[in-house]
Amino acid sequence: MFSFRTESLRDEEIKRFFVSTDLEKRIILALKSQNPTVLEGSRGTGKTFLLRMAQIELSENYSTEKILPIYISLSKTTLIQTNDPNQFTNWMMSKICKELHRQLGYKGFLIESIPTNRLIFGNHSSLSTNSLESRFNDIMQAYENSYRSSDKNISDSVISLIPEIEDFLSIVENICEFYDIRRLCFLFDEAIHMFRPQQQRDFFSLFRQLRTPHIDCNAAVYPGVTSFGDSFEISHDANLISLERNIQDHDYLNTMQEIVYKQATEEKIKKIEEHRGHFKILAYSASGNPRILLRTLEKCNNLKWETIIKVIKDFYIAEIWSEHSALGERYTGHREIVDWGRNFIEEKVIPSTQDKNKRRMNDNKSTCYFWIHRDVPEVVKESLRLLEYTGIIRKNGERIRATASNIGTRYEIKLGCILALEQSNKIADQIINYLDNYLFTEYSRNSNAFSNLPNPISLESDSEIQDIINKQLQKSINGLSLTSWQKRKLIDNGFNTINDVLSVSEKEIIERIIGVGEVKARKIQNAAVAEILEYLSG
Amino acid sequence: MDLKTYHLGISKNLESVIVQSHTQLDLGRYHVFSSDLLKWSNILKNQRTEMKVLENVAYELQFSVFLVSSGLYRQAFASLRLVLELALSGILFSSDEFYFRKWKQGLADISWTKITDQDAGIFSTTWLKAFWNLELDDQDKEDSKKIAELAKETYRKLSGYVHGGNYTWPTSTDESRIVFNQTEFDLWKKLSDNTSRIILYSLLIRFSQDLSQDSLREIEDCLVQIIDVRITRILLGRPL
Repeated sequence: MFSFRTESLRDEEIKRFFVSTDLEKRIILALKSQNPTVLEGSRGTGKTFLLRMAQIELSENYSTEKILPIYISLSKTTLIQTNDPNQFTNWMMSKICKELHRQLGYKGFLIESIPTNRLIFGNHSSLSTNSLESRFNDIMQAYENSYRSSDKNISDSVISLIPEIEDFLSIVENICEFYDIRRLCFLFDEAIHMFRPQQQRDFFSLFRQLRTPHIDCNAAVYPGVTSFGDSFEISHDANLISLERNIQDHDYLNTMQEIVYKQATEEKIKKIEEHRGHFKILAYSASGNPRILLRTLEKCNNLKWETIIKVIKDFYIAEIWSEHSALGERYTGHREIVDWGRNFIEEKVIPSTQDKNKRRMNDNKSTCYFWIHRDVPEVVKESLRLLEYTGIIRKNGERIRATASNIGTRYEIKLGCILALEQSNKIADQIINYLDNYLFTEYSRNSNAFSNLPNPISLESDSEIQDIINKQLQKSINGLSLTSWQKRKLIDNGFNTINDVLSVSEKEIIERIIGVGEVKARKIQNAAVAEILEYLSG
Repeated sequence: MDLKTYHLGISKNLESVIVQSHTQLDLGRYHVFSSDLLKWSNILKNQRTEMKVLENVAYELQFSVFLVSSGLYRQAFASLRLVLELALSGILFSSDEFYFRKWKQGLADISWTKITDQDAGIFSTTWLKAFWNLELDDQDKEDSKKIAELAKETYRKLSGYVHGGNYTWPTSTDESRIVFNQTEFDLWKKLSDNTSRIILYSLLIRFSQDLSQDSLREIEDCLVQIIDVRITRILLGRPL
């Protein structure tokens, strides 16, 4: 069984699975260097993996290099729903302070005051864990629980505990000088939320401000970020690197094979070796996305052609698209744009590409590329951006000249979407071998592919997220992982929706429902939270 | 030289070993773990008074870190073994009031055999099924088996030092007996990492039902050490 998610790997496993090609080395070097780096890549390309690898290397070499890595995931951004206009900045600052505190502890630079130094200091106070770390934790909790609270205000007493950025920078300078730390290397993962422009702006504003001789900031983002904000310029304020493995690189197949072999059993490797040609088709179908390759490979009991082609068809004709459409189901304000994008690629681009491949096969040319004029309507660009986020397409060149010297962007479709339409492995192999990115279908401003566009939407509104959460909160408790008895008791006592369960304290549940004590009440609330979190993280 | 001067001389020797040990800058995480154990104790002790024993475990761990930093390796291993045994006994106490009461009154001892009993011990399948209330995956059983093996192996290695096995004595008789030793230092760190992992896993299985979302958040940072265990990811709402 393959591991698809870096989040579930320990350090030893990450080191074991790491494949060190030029691209990976270059990225890790950039992350570790003084210059801020923004690493861009769609889901499953390996951003978290590389951030963690940089963290591991810096940690292991700390005694010589003295660069303290601090890995921070901002994935819980979705939960933040308060009236505080600086909610994202405040939450991020708390998270940064907490993590910095913990990392300084790991290096032995500071230890908490009583009670954890009680071996020396004896019994001066009751055992309390109201440590600095706990207090930052409490602040984060206030923001992260806000989605379920009817009171969206964060009290001033909470906000006042969060340091101002200037103070924070000053504290960092002092800490680094005192402990002889060369610099802090922040590694922000899931740094931006695709559907919250304000969060994107606030993040990049903070990213830009966290700059001293002793701080280096790096972030991993999805492609298609729109809102860098007024103060951040991607070309000046950071080094933007794309984590995209080029399928036209001569060592593409070797790299993908190595990634697989690091995790594969001997039995699986043997099967791959017996059908190297079929593995090649699977590897190229994934178009540089290790997670997709591992997922599709896992579905193959053997590497025979009938098995491979079935898995490719199931994944690249059905599964990948249902994942994309699910975006529209969740973010209903974007549904039309999501659906339009899907139709555009499935019904126009892919058939045109397939047609081109048929016609140009005798010339030893093939393609999976298409080109969009730079002045197409905003709604088309938004649609393409979402397709990039899901990973169905990726940019393959900006400011590319096409017919009549028009300028536009070239995109690559996941090669699997093209190969899935072929019956013969020989033809699939030829398409891979003859790929030519000068051969592409063009879509100009006036293309009739753009004749029936969805309505533009307001990209600035945060209300979409609130709507999604509200909808989830209004769902019936019958969908929760609870026993029938528990569900019946809840309904009998007026707890019909998830919101009913989450908006009260544990104590109130115990008081209102006979037969439900602390353990059951806790279980009920935990089940409700798990349901929301699972939906939001999905 | 009188005995007092001799002892003070040893103490000075310890100081120089401490300075040398700390150049490696990686003992901090064990002290942080002792702080995490105090958090667990604070969360659990109101409902389960026997878990106050985690306070003693936390301080014993700090003591073990001090011992290894000082170059007192045998004593550091012995102390670490107590950390492991006492923490897991505490978990056993939480399911057996009678045993806990006997231990409190000095009528029974903590026992590795009891902890690792095939049928009723904390690594048994029955225990796992009793305390983990969701459907058990094959992966969960596999994780449990691996932790059980890790526990047995770790305890065995630590016991070697407690019982004075031949390999645990210095080979050279020329040097001072209290010197920095990289091999012993690294071994202690490895066994301490194992100990943290075993304790965290066992606490999680036993108390997953007793932890509110807020409590989970408090201990989330230390649970990241066992994020590769499926049950941890389920509880923290991480991708499976």
